[in-house]
Amino acid sequence: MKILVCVKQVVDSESVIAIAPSGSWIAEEGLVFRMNRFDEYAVEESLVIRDTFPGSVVTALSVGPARVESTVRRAIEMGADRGVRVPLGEGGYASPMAVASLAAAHARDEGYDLILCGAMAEDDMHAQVGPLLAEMLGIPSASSAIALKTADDASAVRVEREIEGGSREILELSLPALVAVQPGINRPRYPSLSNVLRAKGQPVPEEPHAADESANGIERLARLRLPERSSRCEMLEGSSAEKAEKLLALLAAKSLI
Amino acid sequence: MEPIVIAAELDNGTAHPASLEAVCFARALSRLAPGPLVIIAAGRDVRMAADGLAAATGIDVIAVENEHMAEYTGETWKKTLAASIAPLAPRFVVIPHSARGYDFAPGLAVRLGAGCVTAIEALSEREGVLEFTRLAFGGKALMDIVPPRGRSVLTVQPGAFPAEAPAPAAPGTVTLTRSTAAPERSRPLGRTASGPETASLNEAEVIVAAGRGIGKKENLELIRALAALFPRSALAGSRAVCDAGWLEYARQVGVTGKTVSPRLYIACGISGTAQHLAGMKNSQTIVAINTDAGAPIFNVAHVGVVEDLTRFIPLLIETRGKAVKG
Ligand SMILES: Cc1cc2nc3c(=O)[nH]c(=O)nc-3n(C[C@H](O)[C@H](O)[C@H](O)COP(=O)(O)OP(=O)(O)OC[C@H]3O[C@@H](n4cnc5c(N)ncnc54)[C@H](O)[C@@H]3O)c2cc1C
Ligand SMILES: Nc1ncnc2c1ncn2[C@@H]1O[C@H](COP(=O)(O)O)[C@@H](O)[C@H]1O
Repeated sequence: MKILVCVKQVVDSESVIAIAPSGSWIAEEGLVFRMNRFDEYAVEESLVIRDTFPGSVVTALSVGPARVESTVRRAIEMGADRGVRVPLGEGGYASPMAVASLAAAHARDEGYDLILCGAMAEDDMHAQVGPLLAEMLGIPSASSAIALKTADDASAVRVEREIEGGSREILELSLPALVAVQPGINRPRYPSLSNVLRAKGQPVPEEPHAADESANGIERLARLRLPERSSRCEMLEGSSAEKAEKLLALLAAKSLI
Repeated sequence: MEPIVIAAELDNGTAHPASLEAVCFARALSRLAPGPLVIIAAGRDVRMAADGLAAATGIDVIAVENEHMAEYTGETWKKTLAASIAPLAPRFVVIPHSARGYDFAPGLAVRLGAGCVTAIEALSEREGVLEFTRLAFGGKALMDIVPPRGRSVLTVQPGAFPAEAPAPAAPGTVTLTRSTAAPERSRPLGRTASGPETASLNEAEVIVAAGRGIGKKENLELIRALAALFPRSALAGSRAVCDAGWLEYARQVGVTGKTVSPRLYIACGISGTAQHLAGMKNSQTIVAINTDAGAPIFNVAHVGVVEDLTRFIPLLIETRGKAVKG
């Protein structure tokens, strides 16, 4: 099978976030970049499938500026066979429509049997690129996948998708298809030493494509801002011990303890 | 004037509550971008749901009967909705940001040659320009998005536009149409029931919930010990904690887990993303313990404690012990 896995680079979510002076994105200086967590599950899933279909090839794709190459490389360290980067912008907001059209430009002639994405990017939280890409390529898709099983003859994939209230919807998609996965579908592996060494020597080619912005409108990010703290939250002040006492007093006043 | 179309979500022949929230959003939108409202109710055996929507909202409903819509596939939804929506040439198509909505909305946008903005929580107009507000960075930041000039598909975050019910003067008219669009490359195979009911979660008066911030599985003991201070208490967790295998999925709170509303909810090391909040924000009193003063959980909490839980919870338990003894 030919498998494509789409990986996005994001800032580490533990980072304290400040808005850049331009107001158009976060200030990125000094922040740590890493692979979108959802995409680690997509990479792991692609490797599991490759192992059950000998001869399969996993390609990791990221769309973005030069720095995202390290995230493609991380996918190779986890075990992907090859990586490619389609250049876009210098960082900051990227429209999912533009990202998907560039990924589609790469995928169109490659003949992938299965494309895996994360359900959502931790930074922009659009949950769009997977379903957009599938539609642009004219292949069926399913998002929020929590279990995935490829038919023995590689003709279809059975997907369990998470829906509200803890139930699951089950469906089968004929291949080629795209599946956007949820955390919990597997346990992403840590890179092995041999794969880390292999990734070191492996080039990540840059593959320029023109985004097709003609058909669909592109939205614009007017500004990014920090939410106002809700006034209803009483932040406890003082030393740790004082906070503990205040909290217990508050709970006692409401007869909760 | 170009219409605003609401694609209702139907469940077993009735309209899902999120559909009425989408209507509420569409009403607010039509005040900023005037256009007539139209509801599309597509599914199998839609007549009753369509009549219900027309009566509840006073908005005209196009009911699209399709026998292949008994079970969900994105493929059938996209085909059926694109075919019924395109002739209306709307400026906006409004869809609930539900497990179905976010699955088919982006693809529908591609089919309609439209832009797409998802998980909208608020809308406004600034200097004559329409903007949609949505969360980013796990809720630590907000994005104000200007939709493209042309057509857009929008998904609306459940809970963001509570459906107020002004009794309409007269019900909207219902037009029944048919679609034979069928899935060709997808096959629905049914649903699994939700996981085993954790009665303890539903009945608990106090829920103490652990997030990724507990750091390691062993620290669940701290959460357990905190819960033990309260009678009728139960342990729960965020998705991240269940994904890590630290807690069984039956105890996960949020959109894809349980919805709870105890008298007291203590969130320990939980950042407070929309998916988690959806499951607990109606709790009567919410206390959050988190090292990051910027964590969005503090936006819904009533009491905020910026502390390292591994130090604070033992201290809290000790202080309580002294108080009880003394
Ligand atoms: C379709 C979909 C459905 C989802 N459904 C759900 C759902 O049902 N329920 C759910 O919970 N999530 C759900 N999620 C996942 C959700 O988006 C978040 O990823 C998840 O809730 C994050 O869990 P968390 O808050 O525990 O972890 P994080 O977001 O990683 O937050 C950890 C927090 O702990 C704090 N912290 C770190 N160390 C300490 C310390 N020592 N003391 C105190 N605080 C500390 C950090 O400041 C941070 O705020 C869903 C996601 C998607 C895309
Ligand atoms: N720039 C990108 N490069 C590669 N894949 C991406 C990119 N942006 C998004 N994706 C993929 O699409 C998924 C959903 O992203 P989003 O629509 O931004 O929430 C991610 O989990 C990735 O798998």
